[in-house]
Amino acid sequence: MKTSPSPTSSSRRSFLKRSLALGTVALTAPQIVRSEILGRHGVPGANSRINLAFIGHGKQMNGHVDIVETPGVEPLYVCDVKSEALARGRRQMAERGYPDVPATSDYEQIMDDPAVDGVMIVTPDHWHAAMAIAAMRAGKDVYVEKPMTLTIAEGKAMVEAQQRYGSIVQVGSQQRSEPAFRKAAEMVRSGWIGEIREVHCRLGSFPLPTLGPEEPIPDGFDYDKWLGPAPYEPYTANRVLGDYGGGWRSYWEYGSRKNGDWGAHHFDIAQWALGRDHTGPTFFMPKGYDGEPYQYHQYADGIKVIRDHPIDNGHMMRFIGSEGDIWVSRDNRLNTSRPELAKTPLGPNDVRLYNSTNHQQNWLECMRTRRSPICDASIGHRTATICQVAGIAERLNRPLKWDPRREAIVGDAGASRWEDRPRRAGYELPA
Amino acid sequence: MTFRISFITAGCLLACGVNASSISQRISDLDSSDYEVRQAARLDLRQILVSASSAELRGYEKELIAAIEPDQGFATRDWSIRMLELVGTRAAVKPLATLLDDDDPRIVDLARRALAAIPAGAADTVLEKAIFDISPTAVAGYADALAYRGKPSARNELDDLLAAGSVDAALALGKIASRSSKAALRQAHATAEGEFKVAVELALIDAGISDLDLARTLAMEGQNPAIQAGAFEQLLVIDSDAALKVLSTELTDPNSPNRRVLLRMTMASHLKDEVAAMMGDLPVSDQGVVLGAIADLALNEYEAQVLAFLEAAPTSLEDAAINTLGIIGSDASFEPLLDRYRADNRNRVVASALERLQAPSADANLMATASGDGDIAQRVAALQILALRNSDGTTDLLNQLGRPENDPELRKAAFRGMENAGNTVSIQLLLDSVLTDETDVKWQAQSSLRRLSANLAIADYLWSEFYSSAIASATNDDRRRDVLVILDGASGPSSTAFVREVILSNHPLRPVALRTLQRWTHISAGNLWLEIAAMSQSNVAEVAVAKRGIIRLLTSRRVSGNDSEFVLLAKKSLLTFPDTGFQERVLAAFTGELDWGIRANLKREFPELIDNPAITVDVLGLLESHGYTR
Repeated sequence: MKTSPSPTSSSRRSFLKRSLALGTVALTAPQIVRSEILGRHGVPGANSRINLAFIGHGKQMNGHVDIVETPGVEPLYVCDVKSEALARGRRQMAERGYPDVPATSDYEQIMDDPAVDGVMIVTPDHWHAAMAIAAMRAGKDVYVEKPMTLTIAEGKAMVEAQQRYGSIVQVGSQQRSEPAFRKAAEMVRSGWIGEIREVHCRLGSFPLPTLGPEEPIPDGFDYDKWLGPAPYEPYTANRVLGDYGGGWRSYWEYGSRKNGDWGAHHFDIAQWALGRDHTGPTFFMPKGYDGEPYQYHQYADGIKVIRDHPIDNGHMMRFIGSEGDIWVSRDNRLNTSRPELAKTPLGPNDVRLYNSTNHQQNWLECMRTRRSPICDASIGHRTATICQVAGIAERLNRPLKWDPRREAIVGDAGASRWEDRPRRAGYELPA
Repeated sequence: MTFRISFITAGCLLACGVNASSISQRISDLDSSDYEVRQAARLDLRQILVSASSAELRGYEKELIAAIEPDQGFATRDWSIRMLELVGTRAAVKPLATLLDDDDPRIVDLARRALAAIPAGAADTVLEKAIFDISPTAVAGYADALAYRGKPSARNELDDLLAAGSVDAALALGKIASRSSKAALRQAHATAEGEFKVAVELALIDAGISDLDLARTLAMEGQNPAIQAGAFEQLLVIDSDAALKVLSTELTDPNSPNRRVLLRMTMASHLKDEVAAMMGDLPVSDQGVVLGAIADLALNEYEAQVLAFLEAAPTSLEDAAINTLGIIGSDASFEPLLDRYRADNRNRVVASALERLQAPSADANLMATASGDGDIAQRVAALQILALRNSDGTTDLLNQLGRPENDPELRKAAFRGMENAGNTVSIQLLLDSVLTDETDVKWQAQSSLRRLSANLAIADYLWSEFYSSAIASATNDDRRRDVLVILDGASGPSSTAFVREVILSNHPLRPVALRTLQRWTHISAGNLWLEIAAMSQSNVAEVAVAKRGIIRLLTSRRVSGNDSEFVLLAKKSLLTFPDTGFQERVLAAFTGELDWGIRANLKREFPELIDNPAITVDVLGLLESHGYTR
């Protein structure tokens, strides 16, 4: 049986040695010029080419690869630590007219290549922050899947990096780019249903994470690197499975379970609609504590966002206001308790929110114009914080107070230890 | 399930006051051969520990410390150390420190991480001391542990490593960011080279630069564009004149990869006036960055500049300038945008900017003109703009001007405005107009009623509250026909039932109903088409129309309904019509990328068609293309 390698067999340190060697190769290999330099008359043009690299070729990447069919966009790398996923990535690029996209299992190679303008990070959550910050400090723009990070401290570091390096970061909470969610948020913000009292969000549930006897690591899979900063665990297939019904998403070490999986969408829309993008709730209640039937978080003004409260008409979200309700779901489903409200156009005095109808294209457009994308790192961080504090409260099985200004758990030293995690040697969070 | 039971058990134990022996059992179970028991032990143990009082925790910690001894199995040591990472105190530091020399590298790293997380000062001392006893390849973890703890006291040890050229020490000092660590980094930077220099510069930026010379040097000569941008961002705060010089130099270099980044950063600083002033002289792509920043940051003080820019804007930036005016503009932008709208009222960018513009004076003027008694053409024009903007009071005004006592041209303009800004009061008013003999406005009323009904997208509500009673009260079939002909605007299950009754009962309005059904936008029409095809009196032409209607329902993006209804209609249609051409067109509606709901329904409903002799097309192939395996 093939056993797990030692924890540092393929770490950042070992990569540094390889990348030095790679640097030597780069001197003699055909040089790829940074795309911006190829703009008209040497001036970066609004329509100049954008070179992208793709990291993580699991199921979720299927929703992103079509971006290479955008005129002016070219894939420079596909990257994954599973050889079969890497092959799938290459195949997907070939099917879209790019038959020779280089494949690598070392994302660091991508960061070292100045020709790469933007990186799509579609890995499990526990890798998001390290890769995104590495990309930003190499001068690249980033599209990172939701939730943006696994820990609160990682989120703070990403916000700092975005600000510091002027990177364009788009977080994949793509419901913001669906017209129905935008309209719902605009109606809420414009006071069309009065004062908001509660928001209900349907997240569903995952199976509990499982332990199992160690299994042989498949050939062509760098399991140690897949674990990366997360604690070492013997390999089992379920642990690394990319499955919307469970797999790695159900383990706290790699994701925030349903709070991160769907909360990063619906809590995000609640933040947007309530105008809280740069702040957050002050109280988190886990389900089951003292007989509490539902998990919820509450803002300082009393508005509660309740998880998995039944929503009769099958919608994903419900906003309950003093003068009516709004229900909204994917596929542009939007209903209001006053029926005609949903299709009433906004007036000039109504709140109009950022208008994007395509999350990936919005990122590309912002790469060209340096505008802020619809869900940048500061927004993604605040949403991820909700997912994470809710998850901490769930695991501690007690309510938590949160100070959104200081961004810290209040009055619970034990819980505060969960705001970040020490990482395995070789997988430190970049500066 | 195991977890739930064990969780409840843990809850009971907590309620009863857990003692150390119950912890012992769980620690013992961490290495159980039954992995469900292992997992339950992990979760229970964690729950007990995080819920324990300080007094209880003292006892539990002793047991955890005993469980990390080398004579225990890896699984027991692993989870016990991870629990100490969460709840460990000073008492755990020394035992963990001994594990830094353990034979198993996994245990060494677990111990390091636990020490990094335990807040006791003794952990600092252990980590600081350990950093000199380890191999150079392991320095990164220890340096990071010290940085993780953020203790400036760790600086001395890291300084020595920095002097030896340690990349990891540099990055850790950047995170610690004390005054002395900044000084050490500054000193190291003077002689650093290669990878080490990159790390020192990143660390200097991470720690925050207060020195003007250093910020300027890194902004211009940093080892990569990100470092230059990071230094520039700090230079903007330290010395704006120096930052402006760096920016000016950058803008003279057409190949600079950073120019747009720096421009954007500057627009968010107090130097924005200087950049806005030079907008006209910048290359087009840079102008786009400035416009985007004005819009993003809502810098409405630049409205006049953007208006002036728009006058001579390059074609590629016209939309950006118009969009920016929509966001920051006021009454001053109203007329220029209105002129553009009048020149091309199909331009969505202009219309959108005009819609959102904050122009209260313009709105008041429009309202006064439209509701006044002046020239009809001017009132009509004002009404159009009010409807486009949906300014406060517009809907009420439209409903008022649509009433029969008003001029027909004004009424027609009001009807058109209702398409965008109407409400259910407008629906009733339009229906009333359709059901009268007002020939000069009837056609416009029908057209607007159809569009408003479709826009509101509440078909069943409109049917039950307005349409059904209107049709019932119509005095003759001619008037009912006038409603029926535009009923597809309110396509939904309830209105489908009405159309079905008209068609299947061979009502005189059947031909009109059939024509309307061909424009239907709700999937409920599918079953009706199947019924029509099956009717004995249906002729060949009507069967062909039914088939076309079904294909349209399955392929048009305007048709709404549940995923299951689409798939069931396709299935019934395949079973109803045996000709291969039709069946191929049905299958073609489900090729390519599909919504997951459609895919799931296909996999549930279509497998039974695979071996059906009436189906002559490759259903299995279709299913397999969506991941189905037999």
